[in-house]
This record gives sequence, C-alpha cells and structure tokens, in this order.
Amino acid sequence: MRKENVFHAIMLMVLIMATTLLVKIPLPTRGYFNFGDVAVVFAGLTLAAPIKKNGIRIDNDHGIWLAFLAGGIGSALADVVGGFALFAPMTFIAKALECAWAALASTTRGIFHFLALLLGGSFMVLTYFAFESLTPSIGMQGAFSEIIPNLIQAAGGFLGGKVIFIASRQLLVRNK
Amino acid sequence: MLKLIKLSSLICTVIGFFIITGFIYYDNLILHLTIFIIILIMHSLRFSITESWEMIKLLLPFTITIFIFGLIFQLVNLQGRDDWLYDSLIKVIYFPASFLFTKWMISLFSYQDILGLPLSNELKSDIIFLQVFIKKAFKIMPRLEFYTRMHPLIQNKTGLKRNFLILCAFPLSLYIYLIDEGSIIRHIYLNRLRQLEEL
Repeated sequence: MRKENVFHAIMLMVLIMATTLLVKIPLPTRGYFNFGDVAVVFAGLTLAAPIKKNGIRIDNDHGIWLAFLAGGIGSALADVVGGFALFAPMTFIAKALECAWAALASTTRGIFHFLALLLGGSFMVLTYFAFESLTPSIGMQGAFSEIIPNLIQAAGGFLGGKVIFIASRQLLVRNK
Repeated sequence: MLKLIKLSSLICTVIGFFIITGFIYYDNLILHLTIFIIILIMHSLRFSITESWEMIKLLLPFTITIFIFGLIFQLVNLQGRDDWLYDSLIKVIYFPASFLFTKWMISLFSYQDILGLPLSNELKSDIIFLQVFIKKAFKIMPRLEFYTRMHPLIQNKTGLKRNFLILCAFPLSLYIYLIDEGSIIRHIYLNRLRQLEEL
C-alpha cells in the first residue's frame, strides 16, 4: 500500500471528524444530529479515485479498504471526542461500510454508481438499527427512534458528498 | 508493556460492566439505579458536577424518546410482549449510566498512552500525523466556517439551501487546506528522516 494513500486517508479521517463535530443539532435521538455523512461519502469517492495535488499522488489501489478505515476511524473518533463513546463501535462499522460503498461507487459508472451510493446509505441505517436494537441499554425503542434521523443523514451524505466530490475534482484540476 | 496492561484492563472493565449490567442482572431495576448513582458520583469526581449535569441534560431527550417508544410498543403489544414499559424504565436509567461509564473509561486512556503501546514505528508515525492534522483542522475550523458564512454567494441564499451550501463549502475548504498543509508536513517529515539517516 502506498504511503501517500495512507497519508491521504489520514487527512480524510480528520475531515470526517471535523465535519461530524461542526454541526450538532440537538434532537430527541442520540443527543445530536450531524452531517458527517457528507464527508464520509466524499472520502469514499475521493479515496478510490486517482488524484494528483502538490506532489501527493493517490491511486485507487486499496481505495476501498482505506475508505473503510478512514470512514470508520474518523467517525468513531468524532464520537469519542464528542463524548458519545458508547456509540463509537457501532459508528465505526456503520460509517466504514458507508464509506467503503462510496469508494466502490467511485470505481463504477452510470446506474451502478448511484446504486452503490444508495446501498452505502442503506447499510449505514441498517447497521445502526441492528446494533442499537441489540444493545441492552438502547434496545428496539431507541433503534426505532433513530431510523428517520439516520435516513435524513444518509440522504444528506449522498447529495452533499457527491456535490463536494464534483467540486473538488474541478478545483484540484484547475489548481494543477 | 504497562500501557498495554492498562488498555487491556480498561477494555476488560468495560466488557465486564456490559456483561453484568446488560445480561446477567439486566432485569434488576434497583441495581441499575444504584449503579447509575455510583457512576454519576464517579463521573462528577473525574470531571465536574456541571459537566455531569450537562451530559444528563443532553441525554434526557433520548431517554424520553426511549420511554415514549416503549409506551407505544406496550400499547400495540409489539411481538406479543407485555413488559415494554418496564423494559423502557430500565433503559431510561441504564442508558445514561452506560453512556457516562464509557466516557469515563475512555478518558482514562490518553494520547500519550496510545503512543506508549507496542506498535510499529510506521503506525506510530501515522498516529502522530493524525494528531497533527486534528490540531491543524480544529484550529482553522472556526475561521473557515466564518469565511464560508461571509461568502456573498452564501449570504444571498436563505433557509435550507443556505445551510446546505455551508455544509458543502466547509468540508471542501477544509479538505483543500489539509491537502496544502499535508504536503508541507510530509515534506518536512521526509527531510528530517533523511537527515537522521545521514547522521
């Protein structure tokens, strides 16, 4: 695995963490509502796509695995720093899957591209639901209350992540 | 080695806590209440009473939602169970207790402890880079957010569209900043490494 790719993944981990912690809208679920998914989808799309900027060259080798780790670690760290450590393990898996699917979407075109992005969001919602309903202190009651906010987060991530990805590609190409 | 033992003991304590409270004695409401009070005292000693109170206030809406959903499940007799209300009452006490306990345990393991773990040098350098980027990102974040909000294109918009534009512009500007900073940091790091190898 190229060192530059790891370096890029670390940057995106921090980006995910910062975006998750930037906007916190208090809700009757999980304490707050965040838009970290925008950065998660963006990170996935970016890590699997080739890019060159200021000497840092990033190929799409191992992009999906790096996206899995960047999405998972970045979001879990945000939970730990934000005081929501209890959710960190489930966040790691949910966001890692969402980011990995976004990375997979980056390697495909047309309908499969959008399908992979949609699947990523769906996996995130399903993972949270499964884990929360199995967690003794949250249970089915908490898991049900989380479905709608998580669906909104997934939709926001899908739209925002895609928009930022297109904008970043244009910006970086222009700056070369 | 000491850090590894510390980490292992913390993980074992957290797992032990969840096994005892979440499975073995899950149905014991009095035990949950006692544990909650003990954890609240310990959390207040570790942090402060104000912080503990703030956390409770933050968690209150979620615990209320858990109770409301429990009430709805009880009324519709979901899965043929008739103990939803009692179960929700346990969760209302257990959730804040488990939440504060995890937070307290995590706070006992610092960044220096992570670096003290028997990890490879490469992984340690990645952790250091991560910390450097976190520091840089958190320092620039308020300024970037301010600039984003001040941009004429964003100021012309209102409501949901405005918020969505801010949410898209902020990560993008932070990403560009981190890419630029990253190339400098990496350049300095590689130069130092080369110099050390020469020595």
